[in-house]
Amino acid sequence: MNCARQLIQLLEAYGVDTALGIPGVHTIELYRALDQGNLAHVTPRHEQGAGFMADGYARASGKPAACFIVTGPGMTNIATAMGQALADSVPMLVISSVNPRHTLGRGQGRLHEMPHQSETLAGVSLFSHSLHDPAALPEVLARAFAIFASARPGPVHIEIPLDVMVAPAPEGPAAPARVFPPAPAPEALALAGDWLSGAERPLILLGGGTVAAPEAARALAERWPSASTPRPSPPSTPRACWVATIRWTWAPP
Amino acid sequence: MLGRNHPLDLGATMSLPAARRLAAEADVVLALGTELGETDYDLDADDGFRLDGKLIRIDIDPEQLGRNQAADLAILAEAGQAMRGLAECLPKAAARDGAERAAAVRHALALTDDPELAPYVPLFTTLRDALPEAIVVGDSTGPVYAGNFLASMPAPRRWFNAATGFGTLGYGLPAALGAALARPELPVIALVGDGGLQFVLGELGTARDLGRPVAVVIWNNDGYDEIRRYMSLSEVPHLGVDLTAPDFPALASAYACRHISVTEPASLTDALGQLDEANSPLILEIDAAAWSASL
Repeated sequence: MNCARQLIQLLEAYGVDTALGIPGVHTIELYRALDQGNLAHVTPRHEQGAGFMADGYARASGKPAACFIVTGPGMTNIATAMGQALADSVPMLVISSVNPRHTLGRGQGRLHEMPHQSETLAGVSLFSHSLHDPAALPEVLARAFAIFASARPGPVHIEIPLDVMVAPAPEGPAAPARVFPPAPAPEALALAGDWLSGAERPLILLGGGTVAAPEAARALAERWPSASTPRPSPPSTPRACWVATIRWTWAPP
Repeated sequence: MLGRNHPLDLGATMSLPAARRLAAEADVVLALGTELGETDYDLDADDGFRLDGKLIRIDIDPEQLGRNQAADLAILAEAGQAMRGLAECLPKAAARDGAERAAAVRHALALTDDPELAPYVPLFTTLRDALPEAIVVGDSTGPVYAGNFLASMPAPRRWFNAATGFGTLGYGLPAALGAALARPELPVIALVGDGGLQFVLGELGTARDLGRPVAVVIWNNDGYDEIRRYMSLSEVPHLGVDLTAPDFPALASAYACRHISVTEPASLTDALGQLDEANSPLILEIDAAAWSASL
């Protein structure tokens, strides 16, 4: 069991079923591991396409897809798609290679080498992590999937040095934690309920964060049903309404 | 979000005057899972979106509780739990007239009478009637900006695009392919302009590889028309916005995709009817000038 193989097993354990990427010399070991797993793979024609496909996959399904991206140009190519996903709170797992640990920061002009790859991508990621120890892989994936399940999602970047990718990894990933998102404080809901119950002209603004709960949104909005028959409404009696507007973006599944 | 043409749903219209008046007059506003950001609430960037009533914000991100509009009550929570919990806190059957108020705003918005939206109204009714369950994935292009006002879908996750927020071009086609991977049981439409599609032409090859009947609706106006219009409004000469669109039939042939030219709504209906006749992408090229002239 090496790090690349364990990565595929962990992704499967987290329910990821789709990987997108253009194989390259630097990601060849990811593809060796991918071939032994069950993830479907699709090859775009540019890494930006991989990122946009992962974005569309996530917005349509509520689930993140994984992108497998080569060091350097592959990562600068996908940066635009990560920027869109970050702006719209779309979960996306971007796994890339990076040059071997002993070469990092030396500027030797090695294949695909770029200065500060992780820092470059940090500006379009929730976090960008350099995996310097294969034993840390389960932890960094747990961080990523805890965010996807319980916080405002977005793209996460994990770069794996070529020597780490083939390094031995502990056998058998632990089962992922069950993660629950934050629940509202009861006293806060009671106060909000008081204000809304007394409102004469209430308005609901439904953002992308509500997209996973359309039934709850409808039930809440319809709590004040439309009057089925016309009734008098003197100007001195304000009339209440619930109106909803949506930003067509994202919420966790 | 509430279902197609729900009587309480005003869509994403909060940048428009009639909806803004409603927002400013609301005495209690409940904002859930929203940035209250510029490209949803202030498309013209005139700072004209106001909430004068009490503002309750509920968000899964604590930082979002403080951005753009000052909250009177801020609750950190996942929206679904919060909405279910709030419904329990509210009286059950107070007869109010939300639908009437929403209808009044819709009447005042008069979106279907807006000359700027006129070419797009029949586009969305045609797409809806032909493929009512489809996922429509948009690029940054005229019909998608219009669709953010006009489109009404049966469920969430059926209409999304990159025309807001970060605002990239080239999103529509590859994101539609991702949607097709995720929801193989649903028809998928990419709605793109000729300019935006040229950012990602190679992904037609990916579309062909997938072997799925994804519809690629191209609004062809030979250039970056949104920027042309903005240049006109800003009295800037049309510099750098007049492109030669590719020969799309030849391009479709090169990628072994199907191609149908569309000049008016009836021919779009006919073309969409052929979507499932083969497991290959179907490029539906709308000549924007001819379409508008046909109406």
